[in-house]
Amino acid sequence: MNLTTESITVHMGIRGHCAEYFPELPEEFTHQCGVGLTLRQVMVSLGINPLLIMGVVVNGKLAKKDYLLQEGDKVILLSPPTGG
Amino acid sequence: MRVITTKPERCSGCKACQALCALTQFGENNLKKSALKIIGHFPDPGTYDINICNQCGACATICPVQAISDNGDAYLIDATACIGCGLCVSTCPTRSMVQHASTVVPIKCVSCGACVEYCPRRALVWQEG
Amino acid sequence: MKGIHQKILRINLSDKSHRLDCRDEEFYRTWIGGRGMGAKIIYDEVPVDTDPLGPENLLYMSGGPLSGVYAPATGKTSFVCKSPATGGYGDSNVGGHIGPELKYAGYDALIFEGAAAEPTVVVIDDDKITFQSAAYLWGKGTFETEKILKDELGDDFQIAVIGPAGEKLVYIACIQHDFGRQAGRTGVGAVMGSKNLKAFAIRGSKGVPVADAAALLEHGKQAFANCFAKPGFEEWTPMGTAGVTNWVNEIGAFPTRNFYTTYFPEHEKINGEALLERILRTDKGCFACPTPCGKYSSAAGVLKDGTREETFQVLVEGPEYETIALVGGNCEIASIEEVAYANYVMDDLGMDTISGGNIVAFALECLEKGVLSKEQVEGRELRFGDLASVVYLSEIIAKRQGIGDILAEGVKIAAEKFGHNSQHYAIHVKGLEQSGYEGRNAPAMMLAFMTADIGAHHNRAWAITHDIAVGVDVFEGKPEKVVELQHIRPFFDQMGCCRLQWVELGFELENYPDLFNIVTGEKLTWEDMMHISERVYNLTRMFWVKHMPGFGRSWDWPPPRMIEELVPTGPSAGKKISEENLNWLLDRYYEVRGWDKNGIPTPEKLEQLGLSFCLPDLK
Repeated sequence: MNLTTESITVHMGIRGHCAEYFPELPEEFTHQCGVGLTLRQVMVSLGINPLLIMGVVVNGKLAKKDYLLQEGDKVILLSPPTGG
Repeated sequence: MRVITTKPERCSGCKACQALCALTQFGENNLKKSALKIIGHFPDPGTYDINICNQCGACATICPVQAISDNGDAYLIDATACIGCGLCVSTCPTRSMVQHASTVVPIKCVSCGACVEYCPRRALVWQEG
Repeated sequence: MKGIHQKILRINLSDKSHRLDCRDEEFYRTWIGGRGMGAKIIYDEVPVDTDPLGPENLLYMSGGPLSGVYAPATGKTSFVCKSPATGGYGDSNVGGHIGPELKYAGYDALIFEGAAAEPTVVVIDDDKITFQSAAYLWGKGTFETEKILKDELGDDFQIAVIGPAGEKLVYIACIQHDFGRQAGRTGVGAVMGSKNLKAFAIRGSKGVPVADAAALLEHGKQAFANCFAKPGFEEWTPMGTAGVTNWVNEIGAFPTRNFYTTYFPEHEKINGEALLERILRTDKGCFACPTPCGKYSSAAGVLKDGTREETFQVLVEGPEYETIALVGGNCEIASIEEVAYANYVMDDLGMDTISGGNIVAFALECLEKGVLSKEQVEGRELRFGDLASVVYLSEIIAKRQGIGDILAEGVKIAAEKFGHNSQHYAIHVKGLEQSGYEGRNAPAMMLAFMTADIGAHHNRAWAITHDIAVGVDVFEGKPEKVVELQHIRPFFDQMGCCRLQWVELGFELENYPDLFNIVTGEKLTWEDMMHISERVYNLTRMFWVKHMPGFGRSWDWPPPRMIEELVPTGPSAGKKISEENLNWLLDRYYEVRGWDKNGIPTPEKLEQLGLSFCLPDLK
């Protein structure tokens, strides 16, 4: 595997009510990750179970979890309803 | 004048504004004592009207005992002067004034802005300028 | 105690009389309101052996102390009766504005007793109760009926109506309010129909007495502000409940083809995005709701019925998630416009889309498997994925025509009558058709359906996220979670408010005792509330024990398909739930509840909850 020092910065936000099931992440944070990663891969690396994300908004538009992240993306992760 | 204007296309018909209005003006949880009114038109076309005072002053003009006057922010009713004739209610161009069975004095918007601040849909806004 | 009037309005349709039933404060402290008070009243007053569609049954409606007060989403109202769909305890809640209106008219609850000799409309205008003939409305659809009454009575009346399905005593008939909100489940519309009550209208001017109005103003505003500030407020509202469609498919829990599988490959044609982009006209909120899930849609398309083609253009509230799941996935209708049209047809006929989608899919499978023949459906070629088939079956069910007369009594009874192994295609618990989540790969959700006190309904415990979070193969801890949720969620139906602000936004549960105490002047803690909710859950269980001979563990068993058939496709492929695991779940659940091995509350449990009056019914 070709190691690279290239990385991109994305802005992440988590919305919804599943917080009890997430790792200790702030509601909003900036994340640096490698180039060419999907959102799903980044979620897994952050310890977020992708099945506990119901929807994804990238730069204000609904997107898939297999979206390929780009420099500067603003990502919002929506958790499913829970608790009831 | 502090005039409230509406964006009915944003309204969801929840009427939280009506409950808040009555609670703010009268300390009563009774949306029938609200100075604004949401009217749904269903099943067709599926839209809402928001009847709220635009401080036009027609009520002050028509009042036979001059009980309604402009205090700078809004037209207010002087409860001691009002005779409860209901003329202002029946002529209100926005159909927002009401006369509730429990009071002589009609209910009128005082432009307090509570509905503007707490409408979940931002369907009520201050008029610019 | 405030937040209540201490007045229950009882309307006797047999002799067109009415009276006030005034209870002491202790009654309200014990049962709160909504479904809690309703459960107590029908437990006391509906005799064993009562025909749910006979005049002895009661139809009760009430929100609760928070109903109609200035706080988030206080528009929910419960109907309670002995259910014609199941024969056991039945309730169903509806949003909109009619619960608050009843409070403004000065009543905490409304009870219809007896049965009218002729079709009747009851008009409640504060203290004035009038009985009008509904002869000119009989046979009309729900939309036209409500519109006629609105035009006659005025916009400030809130109205509840039944459609042809309620008139024909169809066991899945609903009560419709506000042009698209339904008390859909357990056949409450049939009970209304059995009383010859086509509609009732309410107008109130009195408001709700509140213990501390100044505090309510401040806390109410703060509660709304909290909701606005919640991360997710902006994102949750646009699609409403339809927004979960993709996710339920992704986790492999979406009812598809009569619960044959749990993933619908074409779900993206009927999901929240499709609704938003293709048919949404406006949001339609229940009383004081900050996050209206009600979506009002305008859908157009073509109905192809054999060689005949007809265009359609309808306005309908929805489709919401349950309709998308049961009419969409479960009948394999792969177009949001077509799901909306079927939604409109069922609403207008006055039938529940959850049970409706189930029964239609059941009939389609029976036809496919040769249990029913083409001759029994007038020689038609009915099939999954075909809108005309759904519309045809809905109409013969609602009007009890031909084979529809049997289907009108639900999948349990229909399967008993059809025989030929058709109980394997009947997806229900206790006779109530299952709502829009599959449990073969979600044991907590499965247990929630098995033990819901009205039958297979999701809104006693929506445990599926818990399944995903802690793992679908984990069983440990899930009975405890289901019991916990079964006390939280139904308590909203005692207070008179909606749970979605908690469920969707994470609006904290701690807010509710605060609001409740400000309105009522009581000093309840959240723990007190959960104790009351547990009391009600045990009482509704005892209603089944009292009314259903032989009631017990076997009644909590899920449909055979869940145990016998592996999920064939999608993310849950290869999964089913074993009898051993089901027995483990039930054993543990009963233990947590303080019920015996047969699922019957123990005398100690009943006494601990203040239900000693139920003890004689244990025998």
